Amino acid sequence: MNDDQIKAMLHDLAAAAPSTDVWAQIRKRVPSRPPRRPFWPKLKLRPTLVGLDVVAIAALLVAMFLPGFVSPTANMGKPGPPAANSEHQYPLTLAQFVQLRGGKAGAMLPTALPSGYQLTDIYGRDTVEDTQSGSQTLTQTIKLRTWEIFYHKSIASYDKQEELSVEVDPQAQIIYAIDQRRRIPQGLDAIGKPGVDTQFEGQGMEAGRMTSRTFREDRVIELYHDSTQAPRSQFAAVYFDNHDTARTVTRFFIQAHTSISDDMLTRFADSLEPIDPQNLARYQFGGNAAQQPMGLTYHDDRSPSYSLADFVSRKAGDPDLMLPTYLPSGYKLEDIDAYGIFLAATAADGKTVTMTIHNKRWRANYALRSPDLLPKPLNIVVGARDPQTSSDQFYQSWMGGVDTSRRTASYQLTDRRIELYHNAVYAPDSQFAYVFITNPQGEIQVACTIQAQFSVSDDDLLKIATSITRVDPQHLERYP
Amino acid sequence: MDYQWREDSEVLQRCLAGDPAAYAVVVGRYQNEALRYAYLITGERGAAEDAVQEAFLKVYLNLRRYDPARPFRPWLYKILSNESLRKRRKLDKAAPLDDNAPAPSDPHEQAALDEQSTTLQQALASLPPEQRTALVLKYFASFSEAEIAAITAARLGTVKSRLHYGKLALERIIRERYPWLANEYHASPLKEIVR
Repeated sequence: MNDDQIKAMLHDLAAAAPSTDVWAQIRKRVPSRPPRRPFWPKLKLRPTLVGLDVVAIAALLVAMFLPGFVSPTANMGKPGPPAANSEHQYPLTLAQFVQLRGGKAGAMLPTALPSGYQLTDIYGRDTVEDTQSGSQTLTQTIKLRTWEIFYHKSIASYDKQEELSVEVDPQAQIIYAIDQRRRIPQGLDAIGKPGVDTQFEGQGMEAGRMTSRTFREDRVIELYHDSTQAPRSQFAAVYFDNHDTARTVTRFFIQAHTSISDDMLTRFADSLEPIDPQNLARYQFGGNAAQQPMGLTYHDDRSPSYSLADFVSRKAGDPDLMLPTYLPSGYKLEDIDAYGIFLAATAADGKTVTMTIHNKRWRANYALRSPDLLPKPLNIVVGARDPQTSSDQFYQSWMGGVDTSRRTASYQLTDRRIELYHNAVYAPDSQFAYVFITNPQGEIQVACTIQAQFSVSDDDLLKIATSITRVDPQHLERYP
Repeated sequence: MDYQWREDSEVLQRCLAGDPAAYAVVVGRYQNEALRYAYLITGERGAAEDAVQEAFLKVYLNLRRYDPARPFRPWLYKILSNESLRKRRKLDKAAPLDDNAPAPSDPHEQAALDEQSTTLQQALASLPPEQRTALVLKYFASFSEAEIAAITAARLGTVKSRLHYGKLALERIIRERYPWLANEYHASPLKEIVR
């Protein structure tokens, strides 16, 4: 059988399960907000404004009106029985954590950190699970089923890139999965054996990314490389045997949002030790969990639609700040969608901290409007190539899913390549165009997709494509 | 806000920002292909539906781990694969698969049972779960070998090996036990594959 025959066979077979409405089935089990780090965990510990100074009260008011704010009430959960298979997350001080977990599996912290990092947050998570007992389904709450520990490097900037997190599962199972009929949890012994299944579902720890596995007397350390974010490894997993009959292990999943050397990650992993309750300062490195909360979550800083002037002022200097100077008659720029590019958070001192994501795509929305007709939209999606991505990879990624059989023409100009596409569904003429702005070496620097949902002639599309140019902030009138 | 034209990453970030309705959009985008995938792995419609529901719920509960810089679909399939295999294991415990059970020798008898799909499912179920998963990820879900390696937490070489031996095994099983099926797919023109 060749590949196409196997494909046909599987698709025929899959047709026996044609459709479903999953949302209708799970919507009642979905919490109103996905589990996440609380926006300002300190509030939960102090749910009153008494004793807070003016700055703190102002910060609270600002925070409450930011999108994504998680109120103390929301964090605490609503009255009534918790939803099955749900999680409840809450901040803990180090002392509280030790009180709850001290002496049990996983109550460990590192004594070696990358330079400048401090312990800032601990979040415990209780889970509510359905368990089967005979014919009965029981709902069981497991206190502190997992927890997550956060370290930050720069308290001043609150930069996500300077965050180091450790997620701990004290009841992880390593399952030896070679023989389907003998799936026995194997504990630490199984790590590194062919066919083990760690049952871990986070991103970043795929086997193909692992760069080393080191066996110590009491732990196994795995380092993982993430080429999309950093030149060096910055994920690590550390396993400890729980020595229980269920052969469970404690797994520490360490994630750095910036490049940390293999050596440092290994030292971090080797330094994990049972917490000495008499010497908590040893683990805090000057920080103080849940007392100076760093639990910042960045949000889109406002409505995702920007005027041209606003957008240009924020994105000035980025290579993909490009727009056409030509548009078909009557079309005008309405606004610009920049969701996820300009982020903001409010720090504990009330200051707003902002961050710009430079390589994220954005979209300029144009429309032809007339009093008697519905608007005819035309938009242009723009994105810059990340220097770590090759020109070919970027092209493949940008064109992923495009049916190349619909291409009607392509043009190679000095500084750009233009491809026109026909889409019979919407219009008689071509109305999709892809523009790839290249450097003198022919490498793509910026890509643009022009999408007209109503008929635009090939000639007009080509004129738009050739007129796309870097925006001059001093002459915005050039960009209709 | 109209999410229809937005990328998964944008919609999921909206969801993280406190709009659970945005998740319904993501579920809507993937639910049918997810169900079909789960059906191919579990071999049972009810188990497939359970696996898909659990997977989408698990994705939602783990959204804090979602990295918008990476594509969403492989992550969904990673969780979906695990859920589907768990459901399959439960079914196996309840009624273990018997690899040595004689296959119907008479194609007309099989046809009378209207079970070409059952026959296909039996052939697929005869494969070890790792090979079955790799084949379905490649030939049904159209993932690259590198993506399959990431989804199944296996090395690239292992994935290539699973695909190679999975194909050979599937072909052998079909030729030996369901020969009319091989003829069906060899003789008939390929149907258009619509995802």
